[in-house]
Amino acid sequence: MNVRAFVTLVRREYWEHRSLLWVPLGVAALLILGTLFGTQMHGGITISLDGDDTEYFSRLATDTIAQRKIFAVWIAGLMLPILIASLFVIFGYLLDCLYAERKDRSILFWRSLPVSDRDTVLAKIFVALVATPVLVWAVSLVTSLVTFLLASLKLGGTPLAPLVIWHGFEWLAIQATLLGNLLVAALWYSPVAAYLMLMSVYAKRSPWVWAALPPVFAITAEKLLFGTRYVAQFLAHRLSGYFEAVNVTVNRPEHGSSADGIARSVDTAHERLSALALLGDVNLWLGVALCAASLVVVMRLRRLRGEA
Amino acid sequence: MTDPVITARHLRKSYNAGKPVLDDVSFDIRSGRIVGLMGPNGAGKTTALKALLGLIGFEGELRVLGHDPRTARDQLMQEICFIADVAVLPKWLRVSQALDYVAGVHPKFDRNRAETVLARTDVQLRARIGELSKGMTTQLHLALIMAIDARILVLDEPTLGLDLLYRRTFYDTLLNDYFDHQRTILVTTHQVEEVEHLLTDVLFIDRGRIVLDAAVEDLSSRYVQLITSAAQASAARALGPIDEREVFGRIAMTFENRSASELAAFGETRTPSLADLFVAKMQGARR
Repeated sequence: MNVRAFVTLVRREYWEHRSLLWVPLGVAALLILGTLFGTQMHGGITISLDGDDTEYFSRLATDTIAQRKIFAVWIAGLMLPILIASLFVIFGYLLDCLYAERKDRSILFWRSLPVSDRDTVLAKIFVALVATPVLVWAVSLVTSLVTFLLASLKLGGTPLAPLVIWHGFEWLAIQATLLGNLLVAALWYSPVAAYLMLMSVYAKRSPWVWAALPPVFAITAEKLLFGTRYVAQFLAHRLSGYFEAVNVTVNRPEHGSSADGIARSVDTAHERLSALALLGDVNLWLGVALCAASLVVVMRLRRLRGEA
Repeated sequence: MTDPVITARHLRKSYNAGKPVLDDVSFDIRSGRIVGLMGPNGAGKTTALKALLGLIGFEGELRVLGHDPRTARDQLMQEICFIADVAVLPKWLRVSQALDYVAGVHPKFDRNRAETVLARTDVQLRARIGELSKGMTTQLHLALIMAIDARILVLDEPTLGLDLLYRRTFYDTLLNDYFDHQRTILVTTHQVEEVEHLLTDVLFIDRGRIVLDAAVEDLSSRYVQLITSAAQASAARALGPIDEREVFGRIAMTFENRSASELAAFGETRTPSLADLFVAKMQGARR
């Protein structure tokens, strides 16, 4: 497969599924508008100044290590809404990507050109697991620059001024971490993606229903037969695993709302910025293997489905 | 005679263990020919085309440009172009994107040529295919295909649902601007009259079997149509017509392997039209 053909196959996906582009851009625009007009929200950190907060920020003014930490958490937090919205779009994309072409019969046109089923399937999974996550990353990178600039204009000279001190090295480091996180997330979610593609290529109609039925059936059957919920737990872990590993929300109640508590909350969030640890989880690699096997089936099924 | 570009031997295909859609089909198609594959609905035309294009599995032996379509579909699709129903172009695609796409994936696509062909039509590059009329979609599809330097062009009912004007233009463009005797065109259609003047060979297929495989130039020596009166009909009938029907009080009989001079005694003779021959063969196969 040559590079030009593969790039064309990837572009084709964005022509058809334009929401893969405009949803991350739209959420980024909302974040920027929120920074411009909002006073409360800054990338997932709600700041309402009471006595403890005031004490925290006055300490922050002299503590550069704490400054760097809250800066990193803030910048990293900006990606979260963009990522979550994009995950929903990618989910829908995967269910549609091998179904729509059969529904409108355009599969006959696509298959009349010298493009193999293998390349088609690889381009589609690449869009879901690599191209769109990298796009999310790039959009959040730009968003972080713009929101930082806006926030520094608004917050300079206020008690929150320590928040808007630029830390270039931290910024670069956090962008690298975020890109790494997205690639880890892609590996973690790859079996889910392959499952959705499998349902997309298999379903004669309503791929959404087809995708929902097996897990719902398995969970219900397990509950009725054994009264247990291992399947549900297994699936829940697979769906939320990345967000369990990476937690950039500053969870204040966990540590109390004193100035110390806030500092500890920021520290906790800062410790959980990177998802690299997930690479040591054997479940991630089992999932990747399952994904690869499923994709082979998807390629075969696309050929068979093309016969009907 | 040149080597065949397509060789089919004993092709069989059935879906879900039902009656075979292709039942021991064998034929050769030579380079530089325009071949009409004709048959009634469900005769197996589209199945035969899909087999050639590597879109379905089948039993038997099939070589297309030296490749087995079952295993070498991707190489094959560089040499073969295919238009099924025009409705298969996706509605969301823009005309310019269609050009970008084919240019990106097809090494033998000449984008300038496609744009030149499109410039003669009302198709706008910015338009989405969903906004084009069916005729314009066909023009786009044809422009894409004509810009591909392919050795075989396969057309499956290409003008279905088009009005007369577009149908005529479609075949004229194909013949004048595309066909150059290096290429081979294989076309299936119901509308026998429409393609009659452009074919060099005909393949009639009925219920999965080939019932006629002939060059058009040989048809006049193999088939004769006799127009005779009711009085002389029974004598003529003794010579074994393959088809007989009544037209305006006279009787038209089609004979195979009888000379015109042999039949001239019973009335007027002529070469049957392709449509007459089609009807004769299809009805003959059912008797």
